[in-house]
Parts: sequence; structure tokens; C-alpha cells
Amino acid sequence: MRSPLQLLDAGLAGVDVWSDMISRALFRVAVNAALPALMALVTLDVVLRYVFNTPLPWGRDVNGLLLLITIFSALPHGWDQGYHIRMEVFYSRFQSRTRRWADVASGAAGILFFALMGIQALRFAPYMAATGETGEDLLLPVWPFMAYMGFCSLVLAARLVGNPSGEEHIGLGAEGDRTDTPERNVAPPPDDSTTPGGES
Amino acid sequence: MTLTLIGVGSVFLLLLLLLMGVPIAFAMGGVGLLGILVMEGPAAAMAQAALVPWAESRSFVLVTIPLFVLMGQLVFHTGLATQLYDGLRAWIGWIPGGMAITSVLACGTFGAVTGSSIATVATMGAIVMPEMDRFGYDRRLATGALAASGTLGILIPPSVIFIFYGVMTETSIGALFIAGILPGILTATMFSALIYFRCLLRPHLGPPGPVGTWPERVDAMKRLGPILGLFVLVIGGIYGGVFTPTEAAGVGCSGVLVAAIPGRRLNMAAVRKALEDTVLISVMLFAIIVGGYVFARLMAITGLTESIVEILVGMELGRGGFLFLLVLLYLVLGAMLDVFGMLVLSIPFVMPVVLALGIDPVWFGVFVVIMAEVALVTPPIGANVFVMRRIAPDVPMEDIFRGVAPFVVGEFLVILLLVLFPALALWLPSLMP
Repeated sequence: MRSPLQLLDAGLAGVDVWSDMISRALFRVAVNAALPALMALVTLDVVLRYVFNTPLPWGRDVNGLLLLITIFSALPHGWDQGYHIRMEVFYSRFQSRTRRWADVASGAAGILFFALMGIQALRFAPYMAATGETGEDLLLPVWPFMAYMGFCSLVLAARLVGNPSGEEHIGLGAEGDRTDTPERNVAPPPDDSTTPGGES
Repeated sequence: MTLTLIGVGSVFLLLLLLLMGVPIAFAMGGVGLLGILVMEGPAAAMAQAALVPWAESRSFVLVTIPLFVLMGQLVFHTGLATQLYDGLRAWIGWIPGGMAITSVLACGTFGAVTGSSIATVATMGAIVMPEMDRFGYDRRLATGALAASGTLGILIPPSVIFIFYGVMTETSIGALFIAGILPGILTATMFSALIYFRCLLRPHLGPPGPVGTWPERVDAMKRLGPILGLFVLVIGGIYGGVFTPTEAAGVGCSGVLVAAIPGRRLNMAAVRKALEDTVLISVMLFAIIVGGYVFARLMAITGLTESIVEILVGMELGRGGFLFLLVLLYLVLGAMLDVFGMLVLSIPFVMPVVLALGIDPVWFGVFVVIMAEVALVTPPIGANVFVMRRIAPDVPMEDIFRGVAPFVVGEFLVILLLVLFPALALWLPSLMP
């Protein structure tokens, strides 16, 4: 017979494993489909406009939706990869106990923000479906995208439960790397063999 | 009064969370929603929680961010940087401090197509540092020049920081890009002059390199072609009114892929890495944009921003006094936060005062980016210095910071010139169609 604490631990571990698996799958959607499609569509629209004088009338709507898919698909995995900006001056010097409290505050703020976002987006989606809301030029119902946004936000909220510190999460074959610099608008460090620096 | 008190309380709670190390996006979003919840009830808070990201994540302007980041990431992986450096060195490597001056110009040009200071330092540093070592350059000068020159990546367009600022302040991103060109060239010239005169007076700091032959120089021009072509395509397209910044970013990405084909410069692994990094960086930026918007909604409800504007305008500091205060503010913020954090925290409060004082938002964007450049090379954060240290691990951090110091003075001179002659930033945008 397991104690309530053991059950809670098992439950949290389950949330961690499942949300991690889902967040990796979502990340692959962003990397392999949404972002390349976004780039291709923007270029195609320019070419069609200037070469054939026939721009895509629904181009802007689809670009917007692809951006939404790109961003929200990668949001949970971005947290696990440590891609978030925080003031590290004090945080990095905190003792482990203080840091744990800081992580609790991070988790609480993040869960408040993204869980509310997710719940409300999922509540909005049926309403949008009922009213038949579409894009401005694209006559496609947009409620599935609102629902997708809500789903991804809830996955991030689950990741915040599974990995409250936002440190790079190693598990189930972590992919990608993370540069360890204060500014995160970074490319990989030059010791990456694919970079020019690595070749020189 | 109650509204203002709640606003002040929210700002203090936000600062407390930030000091604790709570990610900026979470802190701003969480406090923003909590404040709206207290003031307007749960229905309003819930509605804002979903409507703000829904609106912002589909914005056509914001498509610019991942596409320009992707363009930079693709260029980073192509090996075009080596060509660029070799091309410039053939022309100016032979003058006193020539290698360091070459690195300044190469960083400026490379930054022009990557838009990232860290990527610029990481790439050019790895290429140039061994060269400067080979010619016996003073290591303080070498590392300082590289770390400082990397900052040109965020001033010379296209620049992710300009896009971020443009989105936050609803300023034309195209105009901001064009406004950054002359100050960027001025900064690069200032850095080059600093190196040249120091090496002229103390030749051991940066001995001249070999003189390139004319055939080498002609060949070098060809090597510069792809990068200059990309710059002309993207910035020329925006300046000429052919592309919006979003379209220019898409065309730029495709342009890099086309430029990479002849030398088989990109493989699938590199493209995949570029896509992954782009997505992760974009997510990080979007999270703070959305969090910032939610917090800004709270500030609008409380009216705190208006109160701050009234107080600051009432102090009658004037334009010069206000900008001096901002220089101090950004030095302090830059010591604690990274560039995006600096902007997201300050702009909602500062921008209304800027407009009330009649300061042009495009000019102010250039001012803010130069202050961000200073933050990138000054302690304790100095992100570029940290990257430089990884490239030259045998040079103590203190030496790199000392090497950077003359260039920081140069940055302040550029700011002074910008304040005295605002046309440096505003002339080119005024000619746009």
C-alpha cells in the first residue's frame, strides 16, 4: 500500500514523462514543418507578387497561423532547453535552498500565466467554432488553432510541474544544445564542427 | 489613488520576482494577470490570458523575428564568414593594426546579415583570433576589438533588437533598420580609428600584416560578393520599398540557401541545427513579448504609466537631461539584465516620456540599441566578453574588459554625436519612399 506522498510522486513522475514526450513531438512539428513552411510561403508570396503579379490573397492569414504553430509548438521544449531570459546575477549565487524557493516562484508565475492561457483558449475554441470565425482572407475556421494554442500552453504548464527549474532537461534522449551565455540570441559556440570557426 | 497603488505594488512584485530569478516572461505575465484579476475580476484576466497571445502570435510583423533569426543562423553555418574575413584582409591587413581593423569591418558586415552580436563574436573571433596571435597582436587589444566589434551586429541592419524594439513601440521596423546604417558605419569607423592610431603610436600592439597583391585583392572582391549581395538584397529591398521587412527576411533566408549551393556550404545537419536554434530563440523572444503585453495592459488599467510621465515631464529635465538619466538607467539595467530584458522592462515606462518630450521614436531606437551595445561589453554581464573568453581562454576576463574599455569610450562618443546631430540616424529614413 503506497502512501499519499508516494502516489503524488508517482503522479508527478507520470506528468513529467508524458509531458516531456509530447513537448518533444510538438517541437518536431515546429522544426520540421511549421518554420520551413513559413519561410517557403513568405518567399513564394514575394515571387508570385513580383514575377507573376499574382500574390496569394490568403498569404498573410496562413503566415500568421504558421507563426502561431511554430511558437506554441516549441514553447514547452524551449523551457526544457533553458531558453528563457532571467536575471541571473543573484539567482546563480543562491544557495540550493533559496534557489528552490526561486524555482517555486518561477513555477507558480509560469503556471498561473500558461495554465490560464491554456484553459481560456480551450474555452474560446468551441465558441469560435459555434460562431464560425475564420481568417480575414482565408475562409478556414480558426478554432482548431485556438485549441492548439491552448493545448500547447497546458503542456508547458505540465512541463513547469515536471521541470520547475527550467534547467536543461536530460531525459528520453535530449536533443539540441544550449549555449551557456547570458544573452540567448546566440548561435552555437565555435567549437561546433559545422561552424566556420570549427573549420579554421 | 487605489489604482496607482495597485500599479506601484505590481511593479514592486515584478521587481521582487525578477531579482529572485523568475524568468522575465513568467514574471510579467503572471503579475500582469494577477493585477488584472484583482482589479477587473477573473473573467477579464482569463480573457486577456488568451486574447493577447492569440493576437500577437499571428501578427504578420512578428513573422520577421523567426525569419531574420533563421537567416542569421543559416549564414552562421555556411562558412561565408571566413571568405568575408579573407576578402577584407587582402585590402587592409597591411596597415598598422590591420588585422584588428579587418575584424571590425568583418564583424560589421557579418553582423549585417546575422543580426546577432553573440553569433558575430563567436564566428569572427574563432577565425580572427588565431590570425592575430600569429602576427603577435597584443591580446588585450585583439580580444577587446573582437568583443566590441561583435556589438555592431545589433546596430547594423537587419537586427533582431531593432525588430523587438519596433514591435514593442509600434515603430516602423524598416525605418529603424535604415536608421541604424549610418550610426553603424560611424561606430565601425570610430573603432577602426581607435585601433589605427593606437597601433600607429605603439606599433607592438598591432604589427602590419603582409601586403596583398592586386590579383589577391581582385579575388578578394569576389569572395565578398555573397555577403554583400545578401545585404543589398535585404536592406536595399526594404529601403527601395520593394519588400516589407517580413518579406525581406523570407527572401533573405532563401538567398542564403541559394548562396550556399555553389560551394555545398550547407548540409542537412546544419540546416536542421539552424532551424532548431531559430525556433528556440524565437520562442524565448515571443514569451517575453506576450508577457510584456499582458503587463502593459495592467499598467494601462492602473494609469501608472501616465503618472510616471507626468512626474518626469514635470521635472523639466529637458531632452539632454532625460537622455543622460537614461544612459545611467541603461548602465544599471545592463549590469543586471540581458538586452531583451533591458528593453522589455524599460520601454513601457520610458517610451511615453520619449514621445511627450518630442523625441523621434526611430532616433530613440538607435539610441537604445547603442546602449544595449554598451551593456554587451561592460561588467558584470558583458555577454560578448564571456563569449570572447571562451574563444581565448588563456586571456583573463579582466584583460578583455580592459581591452574593451577604449571601445566603450568610442560608443559614448557615438551617442554624443547622435545627440548633437540627430540627422545621423534620421536622414536616411527621411529619404525612404
